[in-house]
Amino acid sequence: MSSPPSQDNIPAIQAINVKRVYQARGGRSIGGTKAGKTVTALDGVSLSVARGEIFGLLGRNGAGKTTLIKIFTTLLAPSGGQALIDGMDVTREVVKVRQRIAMVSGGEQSGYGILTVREQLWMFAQFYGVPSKVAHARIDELLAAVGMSEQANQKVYALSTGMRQRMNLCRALVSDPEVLFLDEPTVGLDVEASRAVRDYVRLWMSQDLRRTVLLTTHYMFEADELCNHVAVINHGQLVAEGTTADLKRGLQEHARFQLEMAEWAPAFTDMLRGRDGVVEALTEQHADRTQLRLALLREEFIMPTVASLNDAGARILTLRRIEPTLEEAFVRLVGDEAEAEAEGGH
Amino acid sequence: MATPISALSAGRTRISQSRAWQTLRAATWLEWETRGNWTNPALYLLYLIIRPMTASLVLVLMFWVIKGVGAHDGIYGFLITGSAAWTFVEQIIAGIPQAVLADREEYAMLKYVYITPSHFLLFLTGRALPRMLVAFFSFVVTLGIGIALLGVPVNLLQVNYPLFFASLIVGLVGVTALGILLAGLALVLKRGAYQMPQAVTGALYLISGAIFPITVLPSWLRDVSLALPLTYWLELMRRALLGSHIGESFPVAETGAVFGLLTLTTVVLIGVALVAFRICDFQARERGQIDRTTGY
Ligand SMILES: Nc1ncnc2c1ncn2[C@@H]1O[C@H](COP(=O)(O)OP(=O)(O)O)[C@@H](O)[C@H]1O
Ligand SMILES: [Mg+2]
Repeated sequence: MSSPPSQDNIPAIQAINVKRVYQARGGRSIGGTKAGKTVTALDGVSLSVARGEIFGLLGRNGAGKTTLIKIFTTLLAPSGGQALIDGMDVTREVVKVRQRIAMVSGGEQSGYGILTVREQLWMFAQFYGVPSKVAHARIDELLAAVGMSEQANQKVYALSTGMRQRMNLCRALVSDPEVLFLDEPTVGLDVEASRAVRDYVRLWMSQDLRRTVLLTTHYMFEADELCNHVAVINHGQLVAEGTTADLKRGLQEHARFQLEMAEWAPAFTDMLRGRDGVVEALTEQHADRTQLRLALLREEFIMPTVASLNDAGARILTLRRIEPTLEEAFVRLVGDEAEAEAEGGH
Repeated sequence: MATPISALSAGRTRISQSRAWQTLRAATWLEWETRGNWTNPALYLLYLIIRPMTASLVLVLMFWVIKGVGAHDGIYGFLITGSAAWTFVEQIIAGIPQAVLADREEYAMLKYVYITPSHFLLFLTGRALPRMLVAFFSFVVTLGIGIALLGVPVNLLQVNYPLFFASLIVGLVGVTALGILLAGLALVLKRGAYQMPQAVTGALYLISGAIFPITVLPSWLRDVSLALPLTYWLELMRRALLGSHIGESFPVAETGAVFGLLTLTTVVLIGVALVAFRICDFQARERGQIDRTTGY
């Protein structure tokens, strides 16, 4: 309401070479190695999120996701570099930044148990200077949207984990923020609650194009479902960035296709292997059809290849481009769980 | 062109003023709701009475043991007024850091409050206000029981009410400043954050003349005592309630001068508290302690 209209060419969220070093936890030495040591949680992260995007930050536990969110939300000072919200520095223009942002973290039992859901949401609206009348109207709307109108007057301590997290989402949205940070918002929630959270985030984004979300998660399907752009963070460094499709495709050296064929002859396989641009052709015989898998040098080779099969007399039932899942792309980038553990053991 | 600009800035000021007021009100309300055990008000009221009473009765008993039953009234007056007034100190100085720690560790909400654009100091001040009310209740009850059972010489018709309320208000401002300072410390302490406020309150109890005149302190401790607004505040509360003859042993005779010193030390304390809080707040953000939940 009171904030001047934001300029569209300035990124909603921007990190410029952000670093963060912690003093190692505990201070007590374990085997004489830990005393006075530091942990580099962020090692020069740069990223930029345009207004209107749902941006996913993917990474394993300990990769540095929460640390980056804490820096953007003014909870934690960066050790180096610059973090900006709407072009405003999070350490220098704290109040202006805070007027624009909100945050929800997953995997915690937060809330003033003795208050009712409505009271808690009203209180947060007060901290943002939202008039009570406006606040109550918003609260009704938000609670209805996440499917917890009936719980409005229930005490927070009596809420299930899923309901509590829906309330937390409402708490973040009651101030009508422009930039929303979601730190693993569906961790530990059941399927229904997770879906309610994701669905509402998507709806909320669609209601106003100036809104921006930065979401961290280690659920790849969640990122795939919600995000336009993603970045993968590993050991405090970004290792990949782009659209989810970019990320999946970036993995593939070759364009892969799967075809269901009828009227197949073994000679076709040799014919294909001899063609320009065909790297690999494999078949698998089924009762009524043949499954053909092709690896091509580039995507464009598929049309002439299909034409040549047609000319030879084979009949194509289906044709499908095979893309790796985001999960596969992710594992390729950061290694699998077992490797991560082996590394951690050092 | 001038009109829209001034209208805009006027609007902005109004909104942030309203946010300040709304924050204070919401924080007060939050403390009222979370601290008061309103599901069982009778029990809560009893607790509010018994706590200061036991404290002063222990002192009276100790006095009996040393001096024998029926000793001098002036001492009871001194003890009861001191420990009645001390409930303000306990409720607020220990209460504000407690509120911060509970928000951080028990409710895991401090980080969400912290990242709102509200003024954090107003949030903390709001948390102190219901405690003032609660302490006032304890104060009145303790004093009433002292008058009725121990013959504490407070004549309600002769109390210097202007002095009483003026001192009370300035005293509460100072106590709140001290509470805010300790809340800042509680944020950054790695260990003992929960015990620290109690320890500080205990030390102040001994040196600010709550239960014995500061003239019995070694001279260097007396100097510390005379740098604290609490010392002047307790002295003024006593003079307002019991009459100025009580001040005979106090190093400053003139009541107006005592009030001046109360005001002066309070202003200094506010300055110190604000600077200290800023430093602690900055440190807490540097070290990532705003959302720590393992500080038990
Ligand atoms: N307060 C802290 N003190 C010391 N080390 C920390 C602290 N917070 C996080 N770390 C370390 O920093 C790294 C990144 O943590 P975090 O940002 O929480 O990762 P993620 O959210 O991706 O799981 C981890 O190695 C973690 O152990
Ligand atoms: Mg995390």
